[in-house]
Amino acid sequence: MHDVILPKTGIYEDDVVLIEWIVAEGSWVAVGDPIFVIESEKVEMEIESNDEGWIHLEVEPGFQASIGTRVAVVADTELAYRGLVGES
Amino acid sequence: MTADEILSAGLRMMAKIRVFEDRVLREFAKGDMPGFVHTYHGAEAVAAGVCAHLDDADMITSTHRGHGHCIAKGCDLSAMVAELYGRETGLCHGRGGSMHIADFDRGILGANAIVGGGISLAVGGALAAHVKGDGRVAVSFFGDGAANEGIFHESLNLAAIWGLPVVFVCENNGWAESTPTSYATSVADVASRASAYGIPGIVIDGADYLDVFEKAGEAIERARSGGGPTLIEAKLTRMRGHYVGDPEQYRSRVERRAARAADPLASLAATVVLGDYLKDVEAELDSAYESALSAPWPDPSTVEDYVLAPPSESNTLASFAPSTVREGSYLQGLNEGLFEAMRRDPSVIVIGEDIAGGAGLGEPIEGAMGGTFGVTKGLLEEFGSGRVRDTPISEAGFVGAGVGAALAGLRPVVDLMWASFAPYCFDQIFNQAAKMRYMFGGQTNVPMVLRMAVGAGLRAGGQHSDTLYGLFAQIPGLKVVVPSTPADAKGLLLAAIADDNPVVFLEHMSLYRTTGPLPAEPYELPIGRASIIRAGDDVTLIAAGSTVSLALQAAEQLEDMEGVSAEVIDLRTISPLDVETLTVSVARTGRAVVIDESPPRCGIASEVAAVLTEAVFDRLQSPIARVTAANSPVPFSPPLEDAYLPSVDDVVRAAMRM
Repeated sequence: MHDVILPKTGIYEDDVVLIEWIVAEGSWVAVGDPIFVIESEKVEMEIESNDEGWIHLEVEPGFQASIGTRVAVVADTELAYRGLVGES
Repeated sequence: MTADEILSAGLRMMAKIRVFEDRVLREFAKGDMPGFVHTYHGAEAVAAGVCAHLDDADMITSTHRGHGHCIAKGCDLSAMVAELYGRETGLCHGRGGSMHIADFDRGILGANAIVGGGISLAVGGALAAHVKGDGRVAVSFFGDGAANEGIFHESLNLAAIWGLPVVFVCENNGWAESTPTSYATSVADVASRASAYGIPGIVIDGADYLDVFEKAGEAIERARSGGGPTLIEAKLTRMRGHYVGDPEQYRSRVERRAARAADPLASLAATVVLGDYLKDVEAELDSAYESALSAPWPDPSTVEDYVLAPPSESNTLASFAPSTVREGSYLQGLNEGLFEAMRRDPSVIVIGEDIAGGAGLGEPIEGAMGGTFGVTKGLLEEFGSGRVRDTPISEAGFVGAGVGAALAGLRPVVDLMWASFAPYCFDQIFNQAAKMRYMFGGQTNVPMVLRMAVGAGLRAGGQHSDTLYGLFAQIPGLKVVVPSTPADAKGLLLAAIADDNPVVFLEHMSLYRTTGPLPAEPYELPIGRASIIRAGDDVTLIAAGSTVSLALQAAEQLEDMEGVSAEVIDLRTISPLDVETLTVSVARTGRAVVIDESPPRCGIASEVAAVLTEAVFDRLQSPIARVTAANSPVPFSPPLEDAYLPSVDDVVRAAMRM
């Protein structure tokens, strides 16, 4: 299980806004896949996945929080993902 | 080593760099790593393939994108990580950070966040190796953006004419931040620019470890064996953005993906088995991050530690003992100081424009001047062109080489001819010489002297007459010395050369031909100590360099015509200021006139007035007066230049208004 966080992307350390999910709930993501878009320092940028697996999105677009806040989780296996979202 | 062993060692180093940088991406995102970082993704083969031929004594200069260079040169990962977090346990005790990592035990003369900043330092390192004949080689890593900086061209030319053991490695990743190299650079291959300097220039595949290893090996071997410099251009793909978090709007998602996929490790990994090596590096990093994040911050009270090197006792001469004083000129004092310094310390070299009278590396020319003013006359004849060298008119190049040589074990005396030329090499003075010791946490000293002629009054016009006193004195990490007499010129120059810090040594043009008592033997005068050259009770006149004689004349007039007793202080050093001597005098006289030949804004006169106001305000009987040059460039026309300069009358009037 890997946390996906709102990343620090430059020299400033202000809050970050997640403005769009590029991937859908439950989809499989690879390392380097763009998974969401943030706005930071007045610039929009795509954030790429550091991990591979099944992604569970935890916040809605428009979510604003400090750097390091978790916004999704990537599960290594489909089984782990199901456990995560309470499916059997 | 067999080809397989070479490849295996290379891949391990590349993988180590990659694992380090991948971890930086992850950890930086969390927000605890201060500032910003640039990663080395895609260039691993270059650092690994070049540094495989270097040992700890060999020198490199690195860049803002320098983690790979440091790892390949043998830096401890744990101390690197601690430096990225600004901790006391970092390689530079947290004073440098990602863009300014250095490890002098590994021959790393520092990562340089000024594009091209390291190139001339490497030339200086190679000059030191050449002068000492110790077989060391210097390698400068820099990006394609640096190939459009003037310092690149000055440095290649200098290294070429001196045949220095240096290899220039241009990592061309196609981008200078967001600007494409194809737009910004006039030639398809940076390597082709080598032909302009008569040195070999080769293009290599920066993703191909064996290509890098082989070609870099040849260039380093040529440098080491006296064959001179080479320019290597390694063509690369910058796999990631300029910095971590770069939105990379200048390339599309498709282009970004292609860049991420252009991985020099991918092709190698298929042919070499790394076994548990990656796990070992991961484990080393786990422990490095754990210890860095729990390591102490630097103590805030130490913010000014490492700015200046402490005085070195071992290197000092007797202080002023005027047993055999005879009459001599200011110029002679300087000349004798240089002779003495070079005689007692073989690491002292003298470089600068025309200082060997045009001899270059050849035989001395009979009757040659020795510098524009004759200060270096005769040095070439006694010490030879190994230690006394004319330079091209490349102020940035040779001042930077002086800094590099100081980092690499010499004590260069660099002659800049006129202070008005200092802006041309301000980076080398301000960002390099003055900051190296501090940014690298006291790992190194920069024992160099920058001699410059200053001052107006000789009808030399706007670009040969500046003093720049305040400008230099405002820079932490420099000492600034302004001698006013022949004896001071000699004693302060000897002290400056023996000092472990960069010393800006400002010689007033109007003083070169003045004469006065000059002790024959070598001696040092303490830097940072002012001198009370006339005692008085009613007002303190504070001066430096050429304004000292104005102050003395004004003091005589005040005495003769007004019955006012004036004390005169010659600052001698304007950084650090001798606050104690100033405050003791002014506390007693209650009045001060500060005379400064620089323009009035933010200058030495203002600084002295502020210091005195803070220290002895309650003892002042009148506001402190500043007598300065006009707030203009130095004019050419004699009546204008005379009006520009402070005068004896100005000083007398200022004192009488009190």
